[in-house]
Amino acid sequence: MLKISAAVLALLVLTSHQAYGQTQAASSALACTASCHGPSLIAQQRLDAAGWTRELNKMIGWGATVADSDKDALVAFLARTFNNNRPRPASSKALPEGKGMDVFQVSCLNCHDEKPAAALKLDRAGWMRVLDRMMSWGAHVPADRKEDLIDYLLKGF
Amino acid sequence: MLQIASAKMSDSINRRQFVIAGGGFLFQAAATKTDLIVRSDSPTDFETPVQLLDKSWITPNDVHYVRAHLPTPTIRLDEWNLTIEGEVNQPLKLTMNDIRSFREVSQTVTLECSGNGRAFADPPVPGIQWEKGAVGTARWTGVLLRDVLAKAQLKTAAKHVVLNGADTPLRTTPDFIRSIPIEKATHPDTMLAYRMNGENIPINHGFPIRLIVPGWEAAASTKWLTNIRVSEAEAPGFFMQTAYRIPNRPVAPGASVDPKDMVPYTALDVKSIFTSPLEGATVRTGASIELRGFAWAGVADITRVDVSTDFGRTWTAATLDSDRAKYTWRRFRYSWKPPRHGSFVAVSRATDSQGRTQPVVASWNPAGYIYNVVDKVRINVED
Repeated sequence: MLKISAAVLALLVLTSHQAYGQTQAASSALACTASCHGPSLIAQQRLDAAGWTRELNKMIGWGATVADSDKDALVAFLARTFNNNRPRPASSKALPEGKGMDVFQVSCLNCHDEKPAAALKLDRAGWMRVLDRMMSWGAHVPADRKEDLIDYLLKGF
Repeated sequence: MLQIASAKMSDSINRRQFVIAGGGFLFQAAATKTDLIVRSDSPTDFETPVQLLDKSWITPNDVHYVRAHLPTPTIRLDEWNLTIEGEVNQPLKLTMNDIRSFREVSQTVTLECSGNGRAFADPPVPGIQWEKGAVGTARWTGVLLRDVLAKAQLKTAAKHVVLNGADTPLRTTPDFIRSIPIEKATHPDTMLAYRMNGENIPINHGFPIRLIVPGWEAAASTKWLTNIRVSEAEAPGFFMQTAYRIPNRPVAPGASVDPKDMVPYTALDVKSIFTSPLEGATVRTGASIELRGFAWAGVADITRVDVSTDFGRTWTAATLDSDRAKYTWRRFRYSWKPPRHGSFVAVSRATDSQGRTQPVVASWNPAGYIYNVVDKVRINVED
């Protein structure tokens, strides 16, 4: 369930013009708003504005506190960020062998296929930033496997 | 691979040290700690990767998928009771020792989340985005619910049993309360389980008692069971009157369906999944490979699984392993020697003892239940 404070929502609105993944502040802000469930419950959805409106109304009915005046902006953010234009999950997909492959398969492909990662050409610091952002949205990467995963991403599988 | 036992979770589990009251031994409820897909860490919703399902007919406790709607409760067995009340002449308040005094039974059951496959719904629907692995098979040991209900002496008004567990809602979220009809509650295979694959049921799987309703979608199999209210009516509330319902007719993708046209989803449909090879695997020409997976059909038995390796043009019966039991999946195997290099699609289609077979086109419903279209994996063949 979401508990959206006016201040947090304002931050969301301020940052919502940016595409998903580009604003750590937005990610962190929304993650902090989830008081009845983790952020991954939001991040795994692929809904349009009508779908997010239904979900938000359901959550409000269950006790989430969202001001009427904030609802449209929040739905717009969610629909722009977590919609069906994203790649689909693909956690049972075969991948090139390599250290870290298992983490990539289970912790990343459970939310999207390999294309977003394949399209990025990043150095270690860049991948670390992406990984931290994904983890703020609920990606579950064991601390002792983070380096393995980054090594796998660096090789471009 | 992914280790679920984060520091936070380990701490939480360490707090759950239990003593079986009167049972004469100390034990710790085992935690689910393995290489699962974390769909949600709060509440705990973990999916089994198909490559782990592939390893055995029985799914080990730490590999079995986990589904919860509310935070996992903390339970002290020395304070725990199961109450039976409502339309009975003899209300009961049972300890674990009381429950163990009934005749013990064991049976192997495949449980599947009704939303297994929801991630493939088109258009997408809200909810946990399970792919293929919200399914598993375990050996459950306990007592028959009908024996316990007989001791409570059902009244003639008893039409449903309303089931509640120790998990409690947050704020004004609805409690996870469901019901099953009295005919299923008194069925000779419906049981109150206290062991899973020979161990006390791990906390994530419903310690200390989980209702097991064989053949039905797994939301009927209430975890952490504490209260059974025998009633004339179905359970009220969201999780019975709104959730776990399907349209009473095929509907257009994306349609909204009037609640009066929604009916409870109960027995599982016929279904099969490949567990090997994985989607997009690469193999070589000249050698045979084994295509394998599992098929299940709720209260019915699997009678055959057909496999096609030419996009569904032709079909051949796969062999079924001898491991079998009522309410469980069957492993199917098909040996395939790729005829040439190229990109092929293998398809599996199961048929059951009720004559049902998997559809070739996925139907759609608003909650993404019963996704049981024929399964497909693409296999790339190289020289």
